[in-house]
Amino acid sequence: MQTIRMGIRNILRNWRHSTGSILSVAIGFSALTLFNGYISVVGELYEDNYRYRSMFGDVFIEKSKNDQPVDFEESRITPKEQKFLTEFFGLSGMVDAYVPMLIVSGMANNGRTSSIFWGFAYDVQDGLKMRMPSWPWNVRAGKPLDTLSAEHVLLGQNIAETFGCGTDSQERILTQIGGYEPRERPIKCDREKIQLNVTTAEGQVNATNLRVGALGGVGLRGIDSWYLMMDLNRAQQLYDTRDISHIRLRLKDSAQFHNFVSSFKSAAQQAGMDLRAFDWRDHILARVYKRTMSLFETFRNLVSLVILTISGMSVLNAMVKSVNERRREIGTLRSLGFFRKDIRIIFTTEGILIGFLGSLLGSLFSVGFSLIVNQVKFIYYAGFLTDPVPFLIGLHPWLYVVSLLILCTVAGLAAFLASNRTVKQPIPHLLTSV
Amino acid sequence: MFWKQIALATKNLGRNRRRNLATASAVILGYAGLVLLSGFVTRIEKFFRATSVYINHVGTLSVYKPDALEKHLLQPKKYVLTPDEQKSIRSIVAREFPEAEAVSSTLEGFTLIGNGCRTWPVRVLGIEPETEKWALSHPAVRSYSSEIIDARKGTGLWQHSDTTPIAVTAKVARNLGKTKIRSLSDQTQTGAASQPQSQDCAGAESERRIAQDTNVQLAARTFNNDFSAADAEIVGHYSSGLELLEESAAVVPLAALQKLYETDGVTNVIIHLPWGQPPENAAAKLRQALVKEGLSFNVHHYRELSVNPFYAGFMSLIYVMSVFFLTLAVSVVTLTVSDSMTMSVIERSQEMGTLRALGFRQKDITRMFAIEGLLLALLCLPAGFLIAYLTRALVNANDILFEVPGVSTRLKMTLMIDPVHCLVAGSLLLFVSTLSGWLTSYRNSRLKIVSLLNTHVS
Repeated sequence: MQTIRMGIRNILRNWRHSTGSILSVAIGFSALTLFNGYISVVGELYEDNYRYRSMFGDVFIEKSKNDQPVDFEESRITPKEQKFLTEFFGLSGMVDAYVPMLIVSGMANNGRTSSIFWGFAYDVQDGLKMRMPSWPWNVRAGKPLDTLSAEHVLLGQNIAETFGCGTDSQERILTQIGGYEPRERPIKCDREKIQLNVTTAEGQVNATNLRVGALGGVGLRGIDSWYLMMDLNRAQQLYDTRDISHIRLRLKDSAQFHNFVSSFKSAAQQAGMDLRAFDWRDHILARVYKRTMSLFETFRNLVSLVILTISGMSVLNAMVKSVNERRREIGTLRSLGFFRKDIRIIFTTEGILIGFLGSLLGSLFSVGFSLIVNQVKFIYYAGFLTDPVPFLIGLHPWLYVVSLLILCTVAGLAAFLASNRTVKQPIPHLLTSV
Repeated sequence: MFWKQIALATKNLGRNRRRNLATASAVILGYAGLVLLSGFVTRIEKFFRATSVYINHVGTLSVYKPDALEKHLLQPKKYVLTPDEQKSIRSIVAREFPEAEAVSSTLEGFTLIGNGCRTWPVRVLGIEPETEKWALSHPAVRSYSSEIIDARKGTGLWQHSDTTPIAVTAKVARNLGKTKIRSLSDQTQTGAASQPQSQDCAGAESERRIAQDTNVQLAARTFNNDFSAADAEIVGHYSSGLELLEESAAVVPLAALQKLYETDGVTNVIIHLPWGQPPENAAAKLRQALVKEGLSFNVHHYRELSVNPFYAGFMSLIYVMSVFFLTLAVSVVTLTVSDSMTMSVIERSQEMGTLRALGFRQKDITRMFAIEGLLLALLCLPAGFLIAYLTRALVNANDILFEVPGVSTRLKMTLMIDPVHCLVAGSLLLFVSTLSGWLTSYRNSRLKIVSLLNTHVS
């Protein structure tokens, strides 16, 4: 306590030096929290888009040899395997919701134009559970498939344009995490129906006519150019199969992921099922997400490195100055019986206190600045997201605490280094310093 | 007087060496960080630009019929450019842009590709083979998108005149079970184009036969809504560079696709201008020229979201992050320099008083501190650049690969230092450093001489 008291007193006594250092730490703190706050919001947007809007959940289960976003007969999950999975989910008690998916692809036409398509057929009621709580209403126009009959199809925003479908509604901006306002917006289509042509496993070409019931998609540029979703039973009739491509599931507690995967692995082995369960982020369909997050990390590391080094140098600068001016004081303390480590502790405490005060000041600025920016809602395109999004900065307490700890450590270390050389000098030498 | 102030400022920088060294390190590191970040962003931008403009035939400029960009797939017959329209556009382009490197046309549509047993839907682009030959050997492509060129297998469309060649992505070839690529030597053999046969689709023998045959069938609806089909030979596996397109993309000669769709029209005319030419001005110039000739066409450039969504969307995110970083880094450097200068000003209050007593005016004092800030930054920038340059050399020499979201292959980490970016970042740091020197000394310089001379600093 005595060293802390001395540290505070010294900061007050050398307030001019301390102010500069505190300001440097404050701006470093603000830079760290603002940049990381921004990155975290973009990351959350992407994650929300995958986990809820696209119904990726927590875990994917598919055949071991299936590692492509396309679908072949040999990589599908058979009804026998589906039964095993359903029973396992019930017994494990860890599954909150799951949705069976069948990948569909082929050629679509409305009598006037044709386009390739790729997408998913899924159990629409199970899908609704997977999208809860943030994306029950996953369509920009029309109504979600769970409120329509199996005769309907959901078209991605860009493929919809190819078929002359659109809406007058301008509500395209994802104003916050959690999708569109749940309200039916009318769809205008050149032709109400489209025909889907697919090739079955036996090489037979089958076709079905569906009504355009919704415009939506997965919100990712490129994919929405040919993306559609439809009812699972209808698609299975179309493909003349009862198989599915994979199952996605959400756990009651995401932290139970490893427990779930290991118990699934042993159960599947015991039952002789060639199935694997894995994190949704490791699926090939989530590669864009993974790479985007990796790019963000690179940026974050670069920013943190530069900012922390500059802030550290600033504190070091101030502390070196302070130590040099207080050489006689150090000599006096040593002659009164203070050990070298005591002197180091005094200066390190001073550095940590500077870090702490700077962080407090920085947090005030960061919170104020974030609130202002979040009110302005500058709109831009965030990489592969189809919809423009507002520029937001996240306010996460954990981020502030981590930044405070990092900056206090950096400031403490800088102060320790600044005092280390001086305290090693002999007492008479210190006392005679000018 | 000015030179005297510079001499004084230089002396003062040397006098407070230790503190200035710490301040300098902040400026050096900040500048090096900005230069390296700019090198990274430039690398990504050039890759996306070269890939989209040349490999994916977006061109620097593209000319469409009004609304065709949104509706050409919906009503292709209505929105294609007729031969007369193409001719008019080309003659205007030749007149207005004598510097244009190439002008060509593309036709875009959908088709099913079949192997006799299985069909696969693809988005097909009809291109002029000679333009492809030119584009693939373009220096920008060789320098910035070499990974995409390296991913290609087989031969180019322009090398096969005896048959209808088609290049598909490796994933489409895999989905069709086609591993063989038609080689140039196949041309000289009798009956060079393999013939489609009626096949038994079950069993390993069938799979082997499909794999060893380069023939595929294209099936599509014509622009008149009739069914149409054509044979083609897989002559190469290509990459669009964009992961999301790799599952379903193919390119064929423009003439072959026109024949399949029974049209003589094209979706657009694309113009390749020299690499560094700003597209916005060129697009405006072409629009004006078309209007002057009484032609109603839409002109787009490669930076537009509607024409080049991957480039525009991704670069938008990168630029936002970069500007954010720039702002933060400059703020931190400004404060560090200000901090150091404030200490210096406080310590040198008596000196300021003495100078004032000797006849220096207030503005001379502030100018001296501003020059100190300027000199400090001027000395730091070369050091920062040197650090960035050495880091760049180290990174570029080490063949580090990195992944870019949405790109189908890993890219070599090559930091590309752009002199203009260096100049802008340097100027910015010079400005803030000079301003810091001026601002911190301004208040003290206005104090009375007596007060300054009586200042005591602990």
